[in-house]
Amino acid sequence: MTPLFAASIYWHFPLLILVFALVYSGTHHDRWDRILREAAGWVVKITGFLVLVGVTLYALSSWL
Amino acid sequence: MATPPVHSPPARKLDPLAALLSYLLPGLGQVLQGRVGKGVMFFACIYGLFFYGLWMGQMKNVWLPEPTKLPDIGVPIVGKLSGTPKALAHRMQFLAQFWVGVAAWPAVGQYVAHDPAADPNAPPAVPFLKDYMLAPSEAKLNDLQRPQDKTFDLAWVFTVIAGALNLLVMYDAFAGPVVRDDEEFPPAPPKPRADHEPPPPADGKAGGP
Repeated sequence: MTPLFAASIYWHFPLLILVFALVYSGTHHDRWDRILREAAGWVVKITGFLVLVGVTLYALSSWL
Repeated sequence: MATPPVHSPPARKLDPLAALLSYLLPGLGQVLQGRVGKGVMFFACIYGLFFYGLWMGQMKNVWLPEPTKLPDIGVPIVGKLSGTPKALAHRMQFLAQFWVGVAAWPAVGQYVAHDPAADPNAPPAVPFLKDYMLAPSEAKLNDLQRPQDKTFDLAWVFTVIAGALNLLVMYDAFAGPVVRDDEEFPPAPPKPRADHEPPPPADGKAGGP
């Protein structure tokens, strides 16, 4: 069984999430405080969603 | 009952030149509009993502194939595709990658300059590009996808997302941010005073005992 954090492809995701969050928020606001606040929100939402999906799939593959 | 007047924001000033510049180099339009920090951030993010994806894919994931050697694709109403539409139908990733701007132009240059009848061992059609963004051979593509860790597939996704995000950047340069921050609005007109409200003092200072 592959350990959860050994799958190296997932280590590329933080850059993708950060860039998406910054660019998407940057096209929504001009003020840096709002850009950064919205970007932080997107990072949390996307990361949370991916972690949830990953943990669910890992649990299913481990115990089912 | 009379409806209160609606305080609508002024119409947006559109800037097609800035959009074009942001296509060429992500963020350049914003820099020329005076939004330098945001322009630099867009440039770093989009080029960073695009070239990171290109590096992950061993520089072999941004290209247009030679259409004459590919199977036909039929489209309802249009019929059989040929030439560039056929190449794009076989390599749809390039429809998004193209929007990253000049960074994707070598692929266009290689596609235009490539001679399908040329000897495969002939020198490259664009000498200074060598095989950069040249359509890889079938054997090379198979080699790249053999490791099975999906890095090669994720790599082109990065380049596609970079191109798609630059469309948002171009729109930001063209029409400004989607949400107008409140400092852009002029102050709302004063509310009409009720008849029973006492008039302000003649010297303009707030009244008080």
